[in-house]
Amino acid sequence: MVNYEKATSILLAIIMIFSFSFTPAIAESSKKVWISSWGASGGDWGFPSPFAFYPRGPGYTMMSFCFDTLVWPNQTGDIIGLLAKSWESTPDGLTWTFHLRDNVKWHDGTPFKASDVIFTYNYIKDKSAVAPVGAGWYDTSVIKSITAKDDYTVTIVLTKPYAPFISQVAAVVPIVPEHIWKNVSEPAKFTDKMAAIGTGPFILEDYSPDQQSYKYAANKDYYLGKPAIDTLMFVKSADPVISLKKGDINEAGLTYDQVLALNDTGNIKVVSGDGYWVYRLRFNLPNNTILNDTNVRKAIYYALNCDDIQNKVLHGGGIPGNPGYVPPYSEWYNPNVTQYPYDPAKANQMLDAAGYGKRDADGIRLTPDGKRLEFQLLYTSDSQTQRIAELIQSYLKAVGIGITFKPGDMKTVDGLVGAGNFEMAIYSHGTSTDPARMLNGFPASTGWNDSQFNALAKQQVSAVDEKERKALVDRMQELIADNVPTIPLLYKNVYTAFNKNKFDGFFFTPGGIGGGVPTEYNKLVFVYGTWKEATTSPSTDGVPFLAGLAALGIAASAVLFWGNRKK
Amino acid sequence: MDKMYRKAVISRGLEYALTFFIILTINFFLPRVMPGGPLLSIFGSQNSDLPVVIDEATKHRLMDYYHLNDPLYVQFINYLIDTAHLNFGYSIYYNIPVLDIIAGRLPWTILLMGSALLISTALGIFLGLESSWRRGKALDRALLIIIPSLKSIPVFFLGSLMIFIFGFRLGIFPVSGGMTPYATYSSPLAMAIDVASHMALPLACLIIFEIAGSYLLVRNVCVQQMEKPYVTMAFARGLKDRSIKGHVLKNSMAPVVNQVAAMLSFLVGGAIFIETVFAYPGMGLLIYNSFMERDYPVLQAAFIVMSLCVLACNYAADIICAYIDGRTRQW
Repeated sequence: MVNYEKATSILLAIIMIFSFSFTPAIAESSKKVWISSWGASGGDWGFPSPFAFYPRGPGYTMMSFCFDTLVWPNQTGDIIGLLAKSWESTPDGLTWTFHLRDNVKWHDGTPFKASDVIFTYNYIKDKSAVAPVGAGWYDTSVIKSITAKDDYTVTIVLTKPYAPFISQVAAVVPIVPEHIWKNVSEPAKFTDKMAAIGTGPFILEDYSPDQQSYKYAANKDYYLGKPAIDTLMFVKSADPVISLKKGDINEAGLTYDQVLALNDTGNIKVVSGDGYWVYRLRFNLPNNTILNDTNVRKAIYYALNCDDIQNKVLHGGGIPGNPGYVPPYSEWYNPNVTQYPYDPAKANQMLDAAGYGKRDADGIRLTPDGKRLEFQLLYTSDSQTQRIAELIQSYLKAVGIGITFKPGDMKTVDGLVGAGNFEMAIYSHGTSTDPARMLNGFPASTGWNDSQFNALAKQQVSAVDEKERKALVDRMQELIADNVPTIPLLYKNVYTAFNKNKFDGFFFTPGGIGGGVPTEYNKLVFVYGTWKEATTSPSTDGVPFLAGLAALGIAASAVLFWGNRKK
Repeated sequence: MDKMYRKAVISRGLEYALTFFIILTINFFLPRVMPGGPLLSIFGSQNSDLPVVIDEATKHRLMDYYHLNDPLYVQFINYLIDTAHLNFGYSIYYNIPVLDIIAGRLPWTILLMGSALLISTALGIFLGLESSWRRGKALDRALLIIIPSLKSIPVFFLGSLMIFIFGFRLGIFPVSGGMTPYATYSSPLAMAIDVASHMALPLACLIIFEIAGSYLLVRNVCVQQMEKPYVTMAFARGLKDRSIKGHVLKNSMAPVVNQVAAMLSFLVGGAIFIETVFAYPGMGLLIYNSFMERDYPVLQAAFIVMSLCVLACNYAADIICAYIDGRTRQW
């Protein structure tokens, strides 16, 4: 017979000794450590090399800490030189010459030269099918040739005048070291630590797909100056508001609702930015004969109160949609387009005129052949889109249009819309910031094919003169507002909240980084920001105490259990 | 080991092998009939305006690159051959071998689910036995109300509640992840405690979610056993309560072993919710993320690995049952 009491008391003693001798986990002391989080939406954006990152804004951002482009947007959205110290073009806009810095070194110490730039542009074009940067991040077809005059002068010749060349190509393409990549045939699978060697302000120390975290160390020899922080970490947080309040993280991108929930505790600063993120109503234009009628779509626009939708869904964290699609904070915005203020009477009148005058017992209009004027609304089943769908249903019900719901996850919605298998859909996505991508994708993204619009689209990308281009883009917005190919319901703002007593200097870049990613993580933030705290104090939490307590509790119940058995 | 026992083990094994093959087949076809393909993840939805400059030729090259242009049966045969070689290919999202991803995630899930299974079963057996012993008394009635009602709380709601109370209000447990990112530990014990404290809340949720099953089963089986003549006899002989309980428990074990293995499959479902709520770096979160991104290679491999685990545990349970209870050998 085992002596249980003796066994338990020994166990208890061991546990107690261990819990007292235990020293807590210390993050990293006496260094400037900054911990950011992408929040609940995700944390893993792929390996941060230009050929392996996950091809969305955050993936590009994580990569941009290690890799520099020729030029880059600063706090005011103006383009400054990174690897290039100056650049000029011929008057026809076809030939661009970049004068490179001569004091730049790769993270491994090798000097940076013009041959690296030439190698990168050719390599990306060659691997465009499998490289995120090539497959859609910029238009590889605009570049005709790239040559070097000497080690620090690069000339790029374009196939056609391309107005957004600087902001959409030169400020987007990350330059990689030739000596590392020249023998790599499968760039997407090259995720060795060497693959993250760039010229950027940060050197990748660790990327963990399991913990969904990144750790970067400052590049002390960075040519714009040593970064203001020593270690930059991105960690996953299940609830960024709670993590911020607890101090587990120093910064997180938040939604407006989260900003309200955060309810500022004093050392937290909130910065907002233009989201360039639209929620819009999409129609199946080519396939649905009823919705193909412009007057029906206009009537739907009159029936919707976008201001109210914004208030009820974003609670003030955005602005109502604009018929011209370009959000009002954009420098390309044209305010003088047809407006569709909330006017249900006008909507009713237009629907009557379009031949849907009869209604059934439910108040739903009937088509001339006696069917109910009813559409299926496809949307992603997140709470905000769900709310928008409900509001649209009630607004359209008021003018006699029936809506049935079809929710799905994002990929299902994308798949169904891609296959043309829908009637109406609610879409939310980044709008991009340059008209080249913001508007020229309209035929694909709305199903609307207007020859006049398409001609303007082609013209404006080639218009090197700013004023001329602005006039063309203005005209495109007028056409959009007149034809209502899609209804922009609202634009969502972006927010960041951070511990301002530790570090300050976050901003949202007007026009975004990487050709239009609205993020607070412009790498210049970490170079030019100000560190406010002397050193990081070792962070201790209540964990060890509690773990000890829990162990005691378990031990105590074990004693009780065995004690009970003995009786 | 007698002949019948060996025969039983082998025929059961063949049945499980067949089940596994059917799972493999379903696993291959299911993601391919869902709307939305993996290429959407690469060049984005054509409906967003951001990545649009992709032409048909590039698209075709991409499809070729991933062998998505091959006829379906060729894809299926390749899939079977690769699976046999444990070659699950490269993740479309992560760009690293699927096996590496799973090797990084599986231990976390085994740790979390294994602990949950062990603790909830142990607690279930203990409470079930005590409950049946005091059948109809206050403790029994209270447990009968409390435990099943705990089970009816949706597990993700329970998770959020725990995050709010223990993670935020009381601030005693970390609320996300499997360990403090990039912490430096003074000793392996410090690391163990860090891991344990990160596991505390998800573990508690899973235990609450799972305890009802074993508790109710043990209680019912024990109640039946208590009515058997040998128990009456034992009481009449004046045996200690503890040794009577021991006999009752031993005779009730066979269905409990089976139940534990069967519960594993429910636990996998629960783990997806729990790991998502707590951002716990296990298989559940991996499956959820891969599903959202339609990352076929990861999804397939994850399902194969998880179903293999569940099948293996059930097989093991069958063998154990056959060992402890001779009657179950005649399959």
